[in-house]
Amino acid sequence: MTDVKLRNLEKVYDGASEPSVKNLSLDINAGELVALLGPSGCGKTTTLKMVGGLHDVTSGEVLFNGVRVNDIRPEKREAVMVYQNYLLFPYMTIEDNIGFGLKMRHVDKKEIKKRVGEMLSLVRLEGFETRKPAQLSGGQKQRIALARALIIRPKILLLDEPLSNLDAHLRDEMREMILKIHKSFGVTTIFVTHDQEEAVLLADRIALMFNGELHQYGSPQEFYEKPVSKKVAAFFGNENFLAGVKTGATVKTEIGDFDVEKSDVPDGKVTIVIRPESIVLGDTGHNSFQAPINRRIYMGTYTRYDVRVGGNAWNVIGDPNYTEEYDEGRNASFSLPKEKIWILEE
Amino acid sequence: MSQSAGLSKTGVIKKQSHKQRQSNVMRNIVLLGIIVGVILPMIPQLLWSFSFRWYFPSLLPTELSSRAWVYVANPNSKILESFIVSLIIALSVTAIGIVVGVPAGKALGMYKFRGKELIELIILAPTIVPGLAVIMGIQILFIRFGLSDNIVGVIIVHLLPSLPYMIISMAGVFANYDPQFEEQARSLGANAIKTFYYITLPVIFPGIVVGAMFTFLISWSQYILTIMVGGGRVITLPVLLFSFAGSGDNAIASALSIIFVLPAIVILIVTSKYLSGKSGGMGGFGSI
Ligand SMILES: Nc1ncnc2c1ncn2[C@@H]1O[C@H](COP(=O)(O)OP(=O)(O)OP(=O)(O)O)[C@@H](O)[C@H]1O
Ligand SMILES: [Mg+2]
Repeated sequence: MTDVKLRNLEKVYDGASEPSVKNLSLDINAGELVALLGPSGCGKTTTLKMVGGLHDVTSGEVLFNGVRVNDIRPEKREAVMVYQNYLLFPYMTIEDNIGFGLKMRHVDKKEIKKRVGEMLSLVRLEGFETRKPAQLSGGQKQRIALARALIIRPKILLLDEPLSNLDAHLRDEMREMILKIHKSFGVTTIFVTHDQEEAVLLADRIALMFNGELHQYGSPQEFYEKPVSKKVAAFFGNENFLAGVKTGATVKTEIGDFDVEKSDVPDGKVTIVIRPESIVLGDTGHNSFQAPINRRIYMGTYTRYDVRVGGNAWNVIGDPNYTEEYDEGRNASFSLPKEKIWILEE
Repeated sequence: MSQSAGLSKTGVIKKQSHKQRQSNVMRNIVLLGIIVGVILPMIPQLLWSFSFRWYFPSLLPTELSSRAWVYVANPNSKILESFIVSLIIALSVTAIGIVVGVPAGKALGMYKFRGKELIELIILAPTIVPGLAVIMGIQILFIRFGLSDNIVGVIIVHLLPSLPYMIISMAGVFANYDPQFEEQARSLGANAIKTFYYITLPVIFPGIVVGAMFTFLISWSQYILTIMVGGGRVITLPVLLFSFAGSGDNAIASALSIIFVLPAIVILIVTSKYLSGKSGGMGGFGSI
């Protein structure tokens, strides 16, 4: 079991003026499944490749079990990368592809054959030994790429967008497979994704990056309930913001005063954040206000309301069975349960 | 119906892929082209080389003789010797071409850098500007460095028109080459040498074959540059061939020209697989 620590990691590509990864520090426990999440170009792949030794580190340290591995060549790191586009070696059979890592380790042919067979049944592609990569579908290629990485029993598994090239159905299947494999191998796994839902479904912890910088690192729940910034909240689909001034346990806003729970946020300018599903439709007599409904959208299992709150466009999620009072164009009552309000320092 | 379908050991139906069949067809077309375009025109030459007398209206030689071939085989005629000299020069040029052309092609095909267009132009220039136009200046330079009148000088000057083809061929291969395949191999435990052997080489090999073929043939058929730099002391096959072509001895000139094109035909047939279809051997500088 191997833990991974990144210390002030920085990467400036040759000829680039800006670093692609800046001052990144991250602790990943042995056997943990961590998602590197962020929009395109934020430095996720770059980070993964620095962990795998495939790109040099400009400054900072990569530590495996506390040992600095910056200068250890990729073939000695036992941290195997699975690329987004699979990169199966095109002129090799599936058997040779999966067995490649063992061949490089001089494992004897019989043993390789046996273990390739085991791997193929693990990824449910028995009998594919003699095929060529060109004869495989995308989902099959992905599973072969995974098998090829796992056969050498790596200490660390690095997955770059493992699900992004698959259609919705295959994605669910592959996600289950990754979870199953992660559980049975107990391998420390870092996977890259730009899809927050995927990160939430798979990861023990999520590291959210913007522009080469780490913004928040924590459990999926924390990202929903305790985003560290408006940007993080927005990335997780919540833009229910309201500016105000905090004094003790009260926040004064343009639509009224709100009671809030005690928090570490100092008094002064703050932003209130609340999840769409935490807002109560109706006047509970506490933290209530009136706001116009711009749109009402029936979503089957729930109804979504676009509400104008102060200068902001909010989403509110309610019961699918709405009443007349909550029609489009109406000025309706809403309440914010005190314990569901999250406050951000401005 | 489908002669290419069969059952593999595991019982999974294995089919020859569509692409595979297509490239076989392409290969046959190339071979046919070689036969029609190269071998058929050789037949009159062959007849000439065995003729003693062959006058205008008759369709076949009036009298046959092996005189020309006896002459060719005679060590005093220096024909076999010049064949070997040509071979040594062309093989050396090819070897140097590969050693220089592969990294140069990689740089041009894969990396962006300042002044790249200019460098591409300079590399292409020898394929556009005739060698004769620059040979005078080169000759003076070679005399100064003692490269005149010897085989080393000839090898170097042959690189001039041939290297561009090697570099262009390799640039084409590398333009479509994903360096992440190498990373993937490293990540799976292959060191740099094994990565080159198992991953890089199979991908770039067709390009090397095609580039090497061009290089060899350009050197093999070089006349002017050999004469100017070799100064009549480095006798290659084309140099002999030209002197016989002017001598009026058609039988010997024909025998010589057959010997001259033989390696070309052998090379074309051996490499036809890489010349056909999308084997990656033919490329150009690519899009980057
Ligand atoms: N080899 C390279 N040379 C120069 N710049 C690079 C290189 N690779 C990536 N970059 C730059 O570094 C930044 C981060 O790239 P990276 O590939 O790590 O992003 P990413 O988060 O993986 O994005 P995506 O989700 O699109 O894959 C980008 O601005 C990119 O242009
Ligand atoms: Mg990426």
